[in-house]
Amino acid sequence: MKGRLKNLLNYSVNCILRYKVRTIVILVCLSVAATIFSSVAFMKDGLARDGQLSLKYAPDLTVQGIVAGRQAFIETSNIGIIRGIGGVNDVVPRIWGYGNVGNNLLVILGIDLRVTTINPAEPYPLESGVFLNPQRNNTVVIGKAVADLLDARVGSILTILSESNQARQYDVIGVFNSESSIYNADMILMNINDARSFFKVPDDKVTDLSVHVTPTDPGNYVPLLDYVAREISGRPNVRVLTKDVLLKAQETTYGARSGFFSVVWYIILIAVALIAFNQTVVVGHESKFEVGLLKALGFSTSDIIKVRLMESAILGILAGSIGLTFGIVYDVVLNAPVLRDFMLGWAVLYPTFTVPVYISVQTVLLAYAITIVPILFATVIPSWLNATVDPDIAMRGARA
Amino acid sequence: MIECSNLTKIYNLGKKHQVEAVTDANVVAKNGAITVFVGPSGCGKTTLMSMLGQLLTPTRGKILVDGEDITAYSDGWKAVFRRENVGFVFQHINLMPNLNAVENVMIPLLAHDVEPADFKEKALNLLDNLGLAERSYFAVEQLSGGQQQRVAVARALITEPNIVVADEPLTFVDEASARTITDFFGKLREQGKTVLISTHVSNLAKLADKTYIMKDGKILGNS
Amino acid sequence: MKNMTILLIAGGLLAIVAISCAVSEISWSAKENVYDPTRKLVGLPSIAIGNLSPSARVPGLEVLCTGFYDAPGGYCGYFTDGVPFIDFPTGGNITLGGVE
Repeated sequence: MKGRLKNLLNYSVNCILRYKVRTIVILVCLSVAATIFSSVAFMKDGLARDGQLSLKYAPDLTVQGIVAGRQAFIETSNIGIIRGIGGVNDVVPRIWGYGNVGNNLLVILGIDLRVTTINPAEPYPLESGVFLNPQRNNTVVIGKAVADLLDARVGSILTILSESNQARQYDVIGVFNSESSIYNADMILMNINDARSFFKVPDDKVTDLSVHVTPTDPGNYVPLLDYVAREISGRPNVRVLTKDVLLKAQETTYGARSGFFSVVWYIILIAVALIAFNQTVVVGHESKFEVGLLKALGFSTSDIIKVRLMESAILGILAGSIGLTFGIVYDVVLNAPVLRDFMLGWAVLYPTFTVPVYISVQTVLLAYAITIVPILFATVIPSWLNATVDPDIAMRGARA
Repeated sequence: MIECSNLTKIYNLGKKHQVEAVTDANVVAKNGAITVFVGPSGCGKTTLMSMLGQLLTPTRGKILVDGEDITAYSDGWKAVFRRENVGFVFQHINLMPNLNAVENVMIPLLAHDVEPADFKEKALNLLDNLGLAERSYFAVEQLSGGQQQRVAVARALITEPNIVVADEPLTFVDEASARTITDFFGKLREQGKTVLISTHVSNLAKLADKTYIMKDGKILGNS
Repeated sequence: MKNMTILLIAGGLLAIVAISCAVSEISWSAKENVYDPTRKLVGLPSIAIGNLSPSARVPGLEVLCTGFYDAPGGYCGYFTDGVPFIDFPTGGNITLGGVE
């Protein structure tokens, strides 16, 4: 590094070390702001990315029944009709709903293994056991959280009380692994007929239909999807959900939750800015004197600005890095206690859930912007204003 | 050689509390000579010193250094001029707090394209010549007023400026330090430096090759 | 020495963040390249298997919905339907006839 610039850098770092109280206050405040921001943002980004990942393999369309403006069962007669629409590759009926174990809400999902294009040889995300078999009834594959809650494992017999006050028993033949917990931790997966019996769903109805389309040309995917969706929407008492709609719903939900933290974070950032500004004012007279003296000793205005710029950048980067590191440790190492429960829902069961975390470049840059920009404004601008006056006036003004 | 003609400084020009601190000052200070400005408190000595040291922009008038008009310099060139040519000793000492003596002496070097560490020995020598060898690493707060001013003198000389401007350098200084500083300024003349001093201390004024008497912002005469 | 320490700490932490970024990106890219057949069946994470309702998982709203049991006049019909949250058009084909 060129001698003069290196000297200015040394002086900048020296300033940081000299004004200890100001440095510590600013570092602590900005680090806290960066920690809160990054821990929420990393989790939100992780959930968003996981949502997109799910959508990659999710049904192209989900068709639900709708009665009186509310979701209702859909008639199975729609299956054949939808299959007849050009471009539709597969229609998979599902029966699903919610069940309770105490205060814990579980998702009970039944899939029709006879019609889904599932290959038993494929790598199912199981920690133990095997996947469902269309030949075997009264068997379930359970999520990790369910297994932990009930202390169940492969070979256990699960007894679930239905809404119709009937107790039904199921053999646990598989347990999903932790890596897939984001979408199946609280799930009990079974054959569609078992789910139909459990929920007492009429034979001619299912909860919804998963529709898969196959365009001949990948460029025609969206137009084909639109066409199929319109064709299905023409049917009575149905509504069609595209992947975009589902993703939007997910983003709305997580966005709303992370938005709550954004409010908290804005309040903290304002407090931080006030504290940082206050600290800058407290050392303002010293700073004004220092600028005047440096100019008297031969520093130019641009030297002064370079010093303050480097000082702000180092403080901002240090604070941002500390905050981001804490955010990463909180999310990745500690699995985001408290925040995880809020983001994913308190009243459902996610006891040993690995939160998906995505440390995106955009979030990191934004965090640094949060820590560097306020400090820049709080230090560089006043210094520049002081540096453009005569050194004698700056020093006298500071002494007054 | 420094020449200034009709040098005037008006504070708060055009405003309610306008003050004409210096009026039409004409000064000639030769190289290798000590020029002293004497006068009562408030007569404009500090303002005049600041203008001559390029710390304050005159309202009117010119300052020529070896024939070159430096009052026309831009802010950037003034900084360069100060850096390369001027060493200033302030009435209020103005050391940087939280630094020790030798660190304060070396501050002016930071504005130059040099490695400050290469000048550390020189800084220590200067402090030694000013009787501060044993206090070179003392924090500023641990030094007396006189010792602090001696550090300030060393700071003014670390870059070997051609012009040394000292504004009331002995105001807050004890007798022993005053003698040391006075002797030191005397040696600067031998080094060919242009020394400008404002003072009301007679021993320092006695060093003068030329003395200007000031009152109410005007130069009444010289000897 | 102290100056260098500050710069080294800042640089070190910056490096940790940068490496974490890179590792995160790599691991997500790898995850995206692994085919999970169950995702195809199940679709979105659990929350959206439901009725699009954020109320199934949202603290606060959850209490509200449990309280009203999705009864007429209750707030839950608004939330459990999920429609207003995703701008999904319903009942769009209403025409007005009668006296001109």
